[in-house]
Amino acid sequence: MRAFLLRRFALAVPTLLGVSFLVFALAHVGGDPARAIAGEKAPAETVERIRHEYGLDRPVVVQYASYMGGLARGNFGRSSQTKRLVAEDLKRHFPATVELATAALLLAALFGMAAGVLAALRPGSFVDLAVMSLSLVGVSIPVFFLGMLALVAFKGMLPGGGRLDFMTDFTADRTGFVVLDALLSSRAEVAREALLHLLLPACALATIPMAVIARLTRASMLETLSSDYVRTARAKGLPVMAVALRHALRNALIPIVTAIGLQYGTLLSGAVLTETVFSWPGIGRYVVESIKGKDFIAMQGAILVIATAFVLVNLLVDALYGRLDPRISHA
Amino acid sequence: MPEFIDVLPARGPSRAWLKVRRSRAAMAGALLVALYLGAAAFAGFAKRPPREISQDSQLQSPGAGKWFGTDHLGRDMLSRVLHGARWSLFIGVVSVGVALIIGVPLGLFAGAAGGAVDALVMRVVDIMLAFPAILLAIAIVATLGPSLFNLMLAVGLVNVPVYARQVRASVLQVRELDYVTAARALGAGRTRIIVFQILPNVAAPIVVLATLGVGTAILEAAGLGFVGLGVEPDTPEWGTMLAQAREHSFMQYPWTVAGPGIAISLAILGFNLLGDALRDALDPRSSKI
Amino acid sequence: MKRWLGCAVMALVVAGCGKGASKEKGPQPPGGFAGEVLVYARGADSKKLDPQAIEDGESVNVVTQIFDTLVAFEAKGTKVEPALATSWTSSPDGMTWTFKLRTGVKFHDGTAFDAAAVKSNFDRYLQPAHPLRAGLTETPYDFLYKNISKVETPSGDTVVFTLTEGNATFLTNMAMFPACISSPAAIAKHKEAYGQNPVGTGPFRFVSWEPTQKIVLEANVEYWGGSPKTKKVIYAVIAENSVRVQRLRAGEVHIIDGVPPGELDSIRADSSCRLLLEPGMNFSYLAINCEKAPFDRPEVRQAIAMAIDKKELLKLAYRGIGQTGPNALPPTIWGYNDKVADYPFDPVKAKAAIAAAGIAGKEIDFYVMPNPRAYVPDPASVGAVVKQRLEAIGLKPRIVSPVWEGGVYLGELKQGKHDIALVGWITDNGDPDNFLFTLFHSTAIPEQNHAHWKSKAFDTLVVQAQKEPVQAKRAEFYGLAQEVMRGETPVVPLAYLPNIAAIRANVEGYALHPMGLVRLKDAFAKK
Repeated sequence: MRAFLLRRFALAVPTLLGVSFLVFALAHVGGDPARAIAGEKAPAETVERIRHEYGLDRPVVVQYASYMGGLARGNFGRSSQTKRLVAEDLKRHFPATVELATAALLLAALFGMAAGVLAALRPGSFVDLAVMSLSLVGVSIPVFFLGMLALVAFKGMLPGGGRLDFMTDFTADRTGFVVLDALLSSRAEVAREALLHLLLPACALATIPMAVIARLTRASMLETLSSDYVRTARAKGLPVMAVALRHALRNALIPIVTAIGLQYGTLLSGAVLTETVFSWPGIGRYVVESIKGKDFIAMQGAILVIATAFVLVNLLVDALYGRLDPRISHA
Repeated sequence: MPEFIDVLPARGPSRAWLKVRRSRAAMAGALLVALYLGAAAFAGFAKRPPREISQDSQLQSPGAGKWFGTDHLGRDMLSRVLHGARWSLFIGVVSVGVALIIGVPLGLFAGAAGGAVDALVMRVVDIMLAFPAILLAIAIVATLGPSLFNLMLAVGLVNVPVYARQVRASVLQVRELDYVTAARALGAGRTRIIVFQILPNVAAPIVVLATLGVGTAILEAAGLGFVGLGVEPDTPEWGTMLAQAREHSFMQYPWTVAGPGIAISLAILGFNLLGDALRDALDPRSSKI
Repeated sequence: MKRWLGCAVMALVVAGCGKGASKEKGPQPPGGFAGEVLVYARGADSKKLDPQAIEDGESVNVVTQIFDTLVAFEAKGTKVEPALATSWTSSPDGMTWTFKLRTGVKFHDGTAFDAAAVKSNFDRYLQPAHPLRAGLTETPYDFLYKNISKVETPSGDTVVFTLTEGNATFLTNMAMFPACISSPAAIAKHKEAYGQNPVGTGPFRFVSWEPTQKIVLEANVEYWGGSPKTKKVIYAVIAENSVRVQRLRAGEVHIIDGVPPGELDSIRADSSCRLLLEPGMNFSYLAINCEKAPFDRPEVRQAIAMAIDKKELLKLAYRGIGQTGPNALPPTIWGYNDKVADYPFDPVKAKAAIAAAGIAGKEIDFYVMPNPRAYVPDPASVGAVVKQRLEAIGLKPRIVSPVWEGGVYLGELKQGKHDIALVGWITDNGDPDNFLFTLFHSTAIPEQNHAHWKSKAFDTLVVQAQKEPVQAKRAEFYGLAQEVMRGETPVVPLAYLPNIAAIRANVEGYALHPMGLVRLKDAFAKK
C-alpha cells in the first residue's frame, strides 16, 4: 500500500512538471505577452522595453527555468494586468472555489445517496423510475444553462451572484471560507447571507455529481441487498428499511465514497463555467479571465494550482479506496 | 479509476443489438438522437433563414408562426435552434473524429510497443488528464484564436486521452488472447497483427466511447461558445446563442435561453442514453444488473 | 452526517445571539453626511489604481475619486478649471507653462501637497530610471506627455513645465487622469504594491479592495473642494449585464453603468429607478483597410459606406439611443463639420460598384471585437447586421473575433490582418485633435490608424490645427479635414452614443459627464 502510494506520488511529480511546461508553452505561443503587459495604446518602443525588462526576449526554456525557480521559492510572480502578487490572488480565489465545490458536494452526496437508496428499495417502482430518469436528465443539462434557468426562476428571491451582499462589511481573512469565517467571528447574519449566496451556484454545480452518486448508490445498494447476508437478515424478520440502512448501505458505501471523492476533483475544475454564470470569485473564473486577458503569469499559476489540486484529490481517493476495501491490493 | 470497456471477441453484434432493442432507455436515446439528426437534416425547411435579421420583430414571445419566439435581432429562434442541431452535429462529429484520428493510433502504438514508449505516451496522457478538459480547451482556443476550426481542434485534442487510454487497455487485453498469440506464433508481423487482429477487436468499445463522446463534444463546444470562444458570433450555434441571450436580458425574455438550452440538453441526453445502452449491451459485466 | 448538521445549526443559533460589531464613528463634516453608503456597480473590476499605470475605464473611474489633477474638466464640459492649481499662465509661444498651486492641501496619508510633489510625479512618469519607478513598468498614456522636457519648482507653490514644442492640447492633457498627483511618500512606501494602495488628495480616500468583488472608499472630510455628501462609496463588480440591472431594481446597488440596451425599457418603466442619458463624446466606426486590395480603391470603400443602413443598425444594434453621421468625430466635439453629407443607403448602387470592381463574391475578413465597449455596447449584433448588408451587395464577409483583452484584437489590426474592422474611440480630452490626428494621421499607422490610411492633404490640415492657438481657426482646419475624409472614405462612422447610467430614484447629486467621467463627490443616496 505504502509503496503504491509512493509510486503514485512519484508519478504525480513529472505529471505536474509536464503540466507546468505545457501551460508555459501555451502562454508563449499565442499573442505577444509584452504587448499584453504594455497595453493597447503603448507605442512599439515601450513594448520592446517591457519585453526586455520582463526577460521575455530570452529563450523560452530559460524563461521556464527562471519561472520554476521562482515557484520553488513560493514566488508565483505578479499578474501582468493588475500587478498583484499571483500568490495572493490564488490565496483569495482558491478558497472560494473550494467552498463552492464543498457545498455542492455535500448537497450532491446527501440528496444523491438518499435518492439512490430510495430507488434501490423498490426497483422498478415509480420512485425508482423517477430517480433514474432525473439522474439521466441531470447529467445531460449543461451547468451554464441550468445556472441561467435558476437565475430566471429565483429572480428576486435568492441572490444571483457573489459571495456576500456588497454592503456587508466582512472580509474572510482567517480561513478564506466566508461561512466558516463568519461563524468564527460570531457573525451569524453574515454566515446566513453567505449560505444564501451559495445556494444557487452550489445547486447548479451539484446536479451532475448528484446524478452520478444517485445512480451509483442505487446500483451498489441493489447488489448488496441481493447478497446472502442481507437476505438472511431480512428472513430473520428485520424490517426492510432497517436492513437497508444498517447493513446494506454500510457495505455499499465503498464505491460511493470513491465516487464522491472523484467527483470532488471534477467539481473543483467544473466550477469554471458555474463561476462565470454566478459571478463567483473563484479560481475558475480567475483562470478564464486571465486566459482571455493573456495575463500569462496569472494563468500559469492558476492552472498549476487547479491541476495540482486535481491530481492530489485523485491520489487521495486512491489511497482512501485501498483503506476502505481491504480486498483491493495495489500490488 | 477509469472504467474500461472489455473487449468481446466472442459475442457477435447481433446479440448486442437485440439487447439494445430490448432496453427502453436505449430506445428513448435512439429516438432523441433520431430527432436530433432529423432536425439537422430538415433544418433547411425552416420558414425563415436562421440569420435573417428583422427590424420589426425583435424579442417577440413564442406564438403562432414563431413557436420559439425571436431574439434581439428579430431572428427566428425555431429556425436557429434547428440549424443549431446541424452545427453541433458537425462540430461534435468532427471533434470526435479528430480525437479518434490522434487517439486511436496513439493507443495502438503505446499498447503494441510497450516499454518506454508506452510509459512516455501514458505520461503525456496523464498530463492532459490533469487539466480539466474545458479549461484546456479554453486555453487552446484563446491561444489559437476563436474560429470554427480551432474550436473543433481544441475539443478534439482534449478528448484524445479518452480514446488513447481505451485503445491501449484493449490492446493489452487482446494481445494475450489465444488467437493473437497464435498469429504471432505463426510468424505474423507486428503491423499485420495490429491491423488484422487487434484493430477489429478494439472497435466495439471505441464505437461506444465515440457515441458518448459526441455528447461530450457537443457539451464542451457549447461551453466554449458560452464563454465567448466559439464560432462566428452570428452562427446559430447553441452555446453562442446562450451567450448572446445572456447579454440581452434573458431574465425578461426567457425563451431566448429556453430553445437552445433545451436543445443542447436533449441532444446530450440522447447520446448519453444511447451510449450507455451500447455499453451495457457490449459489456458482459453489466449483464447482471 | 446528521450530527454534523446539528452542530452547524447550533453554531448558527449561538452566533446569532452575539450580534455584529458596533459601528465606529469616523470624522464627520459639519452638519453630517447626507448619505451613508453609495454602491456603484459595474461590469468589471479595476486593474490597478496607480493613475500613471492605467488605461482601462474601470480603473480610471475609481482613480478619479481618489486623486486630483492640477486643472480639471468643468462639471458639464471640456473646458478646464482650477483644481490643485489655482491659476496658470503660458508663454506666448506656448512652450512654458507656470502653475500656481493651492496651499494647505494634504494627501490622504497626511503628507503635504506642494510643488516638489508635482515634480516628483511627472519625473517618475517620464523618466524610466526615476527612483520612484519601482513596479511602474508600463505607462500606457505617456505619449501624451512626451513633449514635457522639464519640470521646475521655483517656489513651494509654483511649478513650471517646459515643453519641447508648443501644443494646443497641453492644458487639457493636464486635466486627464494620468496627470493625477500621487503622494510621493506613499509611492516610496508601497513600491510595487502602490497600485493597490493609492494615496491622493481627492474627495475620497482608498480603504480596501477585494479583487473582482469590491473596492471601498471613504469620504475625505477635509477635501479642499468641500466634503463629499456620502460617507462611503463601494465599487461593486457585477459582470452579468442583466443581473446588474436586476440588482439595481432590487435596491441592492445605487448606480450602474454599462446598461444593456435591451434593459432600457424595463428601467424606464420602473419608478424606483431613473435612467440617465447624456450626449457622449465617442464614436464607433468601420475601419476599412486602405492598404489592402481591393479596398485601396476609394470607390470600393464608398460602396461599403452605401451598403450600410445606419438607421437599421442604430435600431437593432444600438437600441435606438444613438445618433449617426458622416464624420469621424461626434457632433458634441467642437469643430464637427455639419455640412458634410452622409452617403445615402443605396444597396443597388453599392452592389453595382462591387460588381464593376470585379470583386463580387470576394471573401473578406470582418473584425468584430468579442466584448462590449462603451462606444459599442453590442458588437456581436453590429457584426451580424453589417455582415448581412455586406452579403447583400455581393461580398462574402467572415466575422473574426480574437480576444480583446491583452491587446490581441488591436494587435491584429495593427498587422493589417483585417479587411474591415469594427473599432471605436472615446475622447481623452474633448479636443478634435484627439480624434482626427490621433486616429487618422499617417504617423498613427499602424497603431491607432486602423484604416491604415494615408492622405497628405489630411495630414497637413490636422497638423496645422495642432499648431494653431486660436480655436475658431483650428475649427476651420478640422472642417476641411472632415471633407477630405468624406471623399476618401477610409472609415464608415456608425454611431455616436450617449453616455448611459441608471440610478435609484433616491440618488441625488449624480450627473453624467459628456466625457464619460464619473464624479461621486456630490452624489448620495437619500436616507
